[in-house]
Amino acid sequence: MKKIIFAFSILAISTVSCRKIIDIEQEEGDKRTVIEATLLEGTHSFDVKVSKTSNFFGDNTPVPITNATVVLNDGAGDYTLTSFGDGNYQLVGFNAVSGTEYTLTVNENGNSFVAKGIMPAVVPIDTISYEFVEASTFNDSGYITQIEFNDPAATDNYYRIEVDIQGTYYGDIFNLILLDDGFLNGNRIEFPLFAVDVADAFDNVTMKLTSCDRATFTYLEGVDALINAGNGAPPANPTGNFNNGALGNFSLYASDTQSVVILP
Amino acid sequence: MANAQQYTISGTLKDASNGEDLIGATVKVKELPTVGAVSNVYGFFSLTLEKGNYTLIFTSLGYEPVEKKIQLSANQRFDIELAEQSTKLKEFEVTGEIEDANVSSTEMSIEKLDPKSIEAIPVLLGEKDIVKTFTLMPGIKSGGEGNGGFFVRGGGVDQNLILLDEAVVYNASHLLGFFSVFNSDAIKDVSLYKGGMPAEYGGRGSSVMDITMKDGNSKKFGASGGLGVISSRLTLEGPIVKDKGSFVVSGRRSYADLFLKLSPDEDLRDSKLYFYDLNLKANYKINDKNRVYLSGYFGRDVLGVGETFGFNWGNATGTLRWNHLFSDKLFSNTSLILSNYDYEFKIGSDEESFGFKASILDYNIKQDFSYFLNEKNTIKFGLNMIYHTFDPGELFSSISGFNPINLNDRLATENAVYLQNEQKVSELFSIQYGLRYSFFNYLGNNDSIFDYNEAGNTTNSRYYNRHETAKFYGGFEPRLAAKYMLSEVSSLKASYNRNYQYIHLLSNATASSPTDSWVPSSNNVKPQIIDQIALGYFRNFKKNAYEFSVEGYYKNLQNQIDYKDGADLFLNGEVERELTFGSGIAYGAEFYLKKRKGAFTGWLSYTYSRSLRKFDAINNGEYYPARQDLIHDISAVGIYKFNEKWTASASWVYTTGLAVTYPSGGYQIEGVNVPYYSGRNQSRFPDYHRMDVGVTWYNKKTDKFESNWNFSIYNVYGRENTFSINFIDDESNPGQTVAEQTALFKIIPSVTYNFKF
Repeated sequence: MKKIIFAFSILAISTVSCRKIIDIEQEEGDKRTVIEATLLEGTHSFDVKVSKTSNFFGDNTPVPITNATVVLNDGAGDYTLTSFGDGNYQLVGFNAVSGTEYTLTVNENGNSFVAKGIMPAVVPIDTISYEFVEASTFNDSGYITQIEFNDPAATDNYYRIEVDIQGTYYGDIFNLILLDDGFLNGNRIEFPLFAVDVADAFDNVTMKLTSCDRATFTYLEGVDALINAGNGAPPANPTGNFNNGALGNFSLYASDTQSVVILP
Repeated sequence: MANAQQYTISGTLKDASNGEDLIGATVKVKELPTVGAVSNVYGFFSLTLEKGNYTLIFTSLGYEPVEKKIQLSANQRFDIELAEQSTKLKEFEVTGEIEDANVSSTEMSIEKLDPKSIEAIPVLLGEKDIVKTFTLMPGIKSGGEGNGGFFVRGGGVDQNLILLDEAVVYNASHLLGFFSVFNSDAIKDVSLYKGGMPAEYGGRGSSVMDITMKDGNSKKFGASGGLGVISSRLTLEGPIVKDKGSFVVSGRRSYADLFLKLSPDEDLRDSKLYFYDLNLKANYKINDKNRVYLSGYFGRDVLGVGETFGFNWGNATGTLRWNHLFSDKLFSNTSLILSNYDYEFKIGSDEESFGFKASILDYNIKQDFSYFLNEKNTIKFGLNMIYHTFDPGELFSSISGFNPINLNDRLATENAVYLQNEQKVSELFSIQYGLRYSFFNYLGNNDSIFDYNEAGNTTNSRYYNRHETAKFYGGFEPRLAAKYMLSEVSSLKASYNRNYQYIHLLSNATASSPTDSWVPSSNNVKPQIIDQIALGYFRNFKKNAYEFSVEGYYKNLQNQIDYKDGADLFLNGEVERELTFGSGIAYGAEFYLKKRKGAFTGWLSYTYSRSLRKFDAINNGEYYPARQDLIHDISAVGIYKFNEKWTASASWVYTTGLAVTYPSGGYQIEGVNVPYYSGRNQSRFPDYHRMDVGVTWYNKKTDKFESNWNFSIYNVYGRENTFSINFIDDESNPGQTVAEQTALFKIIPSVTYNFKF
């Protein structure tokens, strides 16, 4: 909401304001290791990307780290990921199980970065419902979609929602749709997706409900604050779960996907 | 001698032309050069002397002295009216002060202004503004255009206690910080304490800005006002019963939205953008022992785009006061005070809308006594109780299926008792010592209160009934100020003070906003504790024509509050989860040279200062600059009076740029380029500097009517000072990032017409 206020005040003031490109003295910061790892519940490829931060001014393409050793441990044994030589590392056909704690260790030029997390359980989508609405200030006429599921009472749950409406994807890191059960624990959650456009009749709607742990949820909130600066928080790097100051996160995701065709 | 009969002279000092109480006027005794009394904020004085014959001299700066020969053999009362000096050299003077007050008074680290004295200083859009003028003084700094509030000696905006007739004003900014909420036409006197606060003040860590509204003319009806580029003002005042009671009503409204009507853009044409202020005050003297005052302030800012977006915020305050003389030595004031600040915004039309509102409301009772024991000791004591209601926010909507959210009110009481003595130990040495004990109860409201650990996880929760104490804090606040006269024209002063601050403003880190929220101390948030020591040397030259001072200070700040990295703030009922706590230090040296007599008046000030913070969770626990760590600060103000008709003025300011957080690298998340920050506040905005000039033309003054025209140019050499910096893709070189600066103003000329009859 602060964004709206801010945008408005800028609009009001921009009638007299002036912009120009300036040179600022900026020391290039220290270079930090960035590890992006996403382990999916079930049998999937496990992909890890290791890089260094780049310059901010000038060439800002990522600098891959090609000589790292990346090892996943599930409490029973170590699994070493295969390096593609371009900063990408992979473990093919790995079965990740809910309730198991996984530890990811990345060794890079003598530095070791470790993150761990417990794979959450899948929370299944119960129904995708939809309701026709007339055009208003906030939306065109069409079907507002809603995701419905039963929140498990025994645990704190953290969700990320992604939606595909007839090939248009919503819920990337520019528009993260995040939800926790802080006020709703153990309830049936019926969450209308005001954040996505309305669907038309006969559109194919797919929703993905991803459960994650609190650390990953905090990281995603940090990513949201970073991308949508101006929400009041001071600019900062999202806090991930790696030690030794590595950026990025070891995300453990348990997802359920459902589809529906909008029938008028 | 010890048993000689003593008698008390007491009374009030007023301006003969309009009956306004004179604050800080003096009563001197010709036969006893070191003995005297000073009138308080209600114009009251009391002086106890041994039986004898004396010549009393009543004076105030800018007024003709009045002499009275008395035979003191009984208590006597004098209600004296002083006439303004007829040789009206409109110098830049701090009225109401004896000429060498800066050297001879015990107080240090204090700045005083009255609106009359600032009328010639050029300002943005001709809107004379007492808060903006204070930022030209040493140790008081502005965050630049578009930043509301001010910083005193490295403290935050929320560490300033801003009082309007004793009522706290929570947000002193209009139009996102371009103007203050104080209409100069309604104000009599302002004192700003940067340190060495007397024990009667408390509740904020850095400073006290004590603003007294005019009482209104008790002699005759009058009107004054002004027409400006951005706003117009009108003040009406007059007696309720001649010489017994008076009232003043002062209003101001801006019409910035008229500019928008000229815009080719339809959305802008339909926009609202204005503010207004209304000050009201009335007083009535029941008899020589009792007088009552009622004052109020209402102000609001309104922004809107057609029917689809509305945003407004404002303060309301009310003060009911009763002055009572228990004896001619014991003066009492009782105040009932109300302060409110709220904001609301709404999106959508009436049938289909949602919006958000939040507020803070205080009920406050104050009882203050002044006991004028003898000519060497003045004792003050009193107590204060505040009941706070914080409404953190309510999301409302007329859309079905949209669940309203109403966060529970947070309740607290804030209380204090104090005792202070100002003692003239000898001709050369005087000392003011006091102790304040403040305590704070964070109260339940029929809900559960949670404890959080450093990671923000809930560790405990407990249910509290409404008004059940959930957390108690209290502490002693010693206050000490001493003066030693080195010679007739120079003095050395020192002070120490400790201040507790129990309520805190969680402010946006990048720019202050009307939606910044106040939160109480609680089980998770400790009160801020700020200690300051200061030392100063004061020297006047050429019969007080020049004032010079240098002050050094050191502050230690405990329990400072900041957001954790990546905090989520909007409509967060558990905002305390997002906070982290640390400490800070601030230190500096302030140099000040002022010329106060003659055709040319003005001042030059230079401040070197640092303000650093230390939080475990930020910058690896190392000290880093606070946003307001403005290392070098220079202000120069010059006013030249050519003759009775023409006055010209100029001011120039220079400040180190604000400390800000820039990215120092980049990386990718899910394939998207994002910035990497190596630390908070490690970079700087470009330095800020600006020159303003103005000319005032006074029409011939008659008994019935006076007026003047003021022409000013803000930012005369068109410096583009930084409001914000954005990092964008270089159009001529895609893939490369460049810094784009937004500046709000280049050259802004303005004209204002002021009148009084």
